[in-house]
Amino acid sequence: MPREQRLTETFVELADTLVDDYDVADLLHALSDRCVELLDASAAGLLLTDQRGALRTLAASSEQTMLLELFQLEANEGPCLDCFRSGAPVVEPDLSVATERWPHFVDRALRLGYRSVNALPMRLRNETIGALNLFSRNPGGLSPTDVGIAQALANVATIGILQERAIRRSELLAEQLQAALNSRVIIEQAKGVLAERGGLTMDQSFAQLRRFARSTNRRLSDTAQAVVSGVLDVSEIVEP
Amino acid sequence: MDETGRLAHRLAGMLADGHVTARGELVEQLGALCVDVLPVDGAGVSVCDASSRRTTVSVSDELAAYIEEIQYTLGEGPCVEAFEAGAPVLVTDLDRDTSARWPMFSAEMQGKGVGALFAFPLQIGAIRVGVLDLYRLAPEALNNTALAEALRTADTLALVVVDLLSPVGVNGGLPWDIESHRVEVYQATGMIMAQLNISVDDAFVRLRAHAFARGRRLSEVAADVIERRLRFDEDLQ
Repeated sequence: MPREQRLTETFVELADTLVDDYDVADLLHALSDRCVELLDASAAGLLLTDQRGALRTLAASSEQTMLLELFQLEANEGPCLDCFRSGAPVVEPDLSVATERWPHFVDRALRLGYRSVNALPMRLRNETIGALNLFSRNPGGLSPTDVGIAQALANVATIGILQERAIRRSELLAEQLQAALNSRVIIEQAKGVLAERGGLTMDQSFAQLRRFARSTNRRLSDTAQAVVSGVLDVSEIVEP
Repeated sequence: MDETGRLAHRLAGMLADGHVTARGELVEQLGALCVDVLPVDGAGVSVCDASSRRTTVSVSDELAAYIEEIQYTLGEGPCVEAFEAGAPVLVTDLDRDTSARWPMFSAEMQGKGVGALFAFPLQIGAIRVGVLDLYRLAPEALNNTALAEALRTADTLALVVVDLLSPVGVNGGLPWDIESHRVEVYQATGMIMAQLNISVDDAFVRLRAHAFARGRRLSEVAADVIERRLRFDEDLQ
């Protein structure tokens, strides 16, 4: 399928999602996957402010990417932190010459095989609430067209977090952000359960969780909650 | 930036200087401590156990006690909603914002002098153990700094209450620190749950107890569990 068509379908799908009753966790994962499919990016990660002064990873296209995002947070350096702090896009087309810019992050990213990175802010009016990070195995970074598409996807993610319910009050941002952050924690707890029961990696656990949620028409967060609370028979998920 | 928060520091200090010997004694003081560390006029902490029984464990004053009691009696209000939704409920102007959402609660709160009410669930993912209720006499929002501190306070209270409810007990001496809020800890908790066939709350306490008993960092023990170097069903504590 030509890219233009896939792109159109993605935005149609996202727009449809936003008018229905939907799950933020599901939406953000779909977005990080679409970034990898549609853009010249090998991996994508999405970070949000936890409103306590730190950032948290909310979605990533793989466990490895999630760990790289966490590494940036712990090392307190890297493109996503710069992007979040400045509220402006950050590009590094060639990580191999960026050692001075982010010594620890570059070392780790190169070892994982990434050669370039783009970080795009998730902004609402004057407030930056997070960043979308796109890593590529090729030097050069994203083309201007791809950057535009990625920023549009990041904007959709921002809207998605805020619109989960109709905007009623100014306190909504805090309420929605905290709910989204806690859903992420439940998903991680559920991955642990599935990894243990099924002898799976965390990536496989997540893939199974998501597949099960989709095939049974449930929300990802609800499925994770059902796994952790013991409501759902885990063997249904890990032994399909 | 201090991610641990003022309440965690205060609790650690009280335990360290020997003023409080049993951690259970701290529980009664939580409401008053919250008012000390946050720019609010009153606070209440309530606990919800596995059978969904709600108990108010500490309040800073009578008005805080009333706010808790009336919500549990009526079964509606910001505190009830925060617990059920798993997200904070922030009501900046109680007179203006509540009558449609919580008609009975709103009617009961008329003339009580409470301007703003902020309810935070005490939770770590699927572990949801209680609610922190904060009120202000004036109808004023929490600014970003106050919101951040309130969230850190709720994070600390979640740990305190999990320990309070668990069989390992609040006097197990487990640290109430920021290390508990990490991805590897969440994942390892899920794995231990499955290994021992226990609840997520108990798995979380077991993980922390293991690290504490061996003087190891929680994140390292969690990494061992995820990498399958450590199993809890082979580890008779």
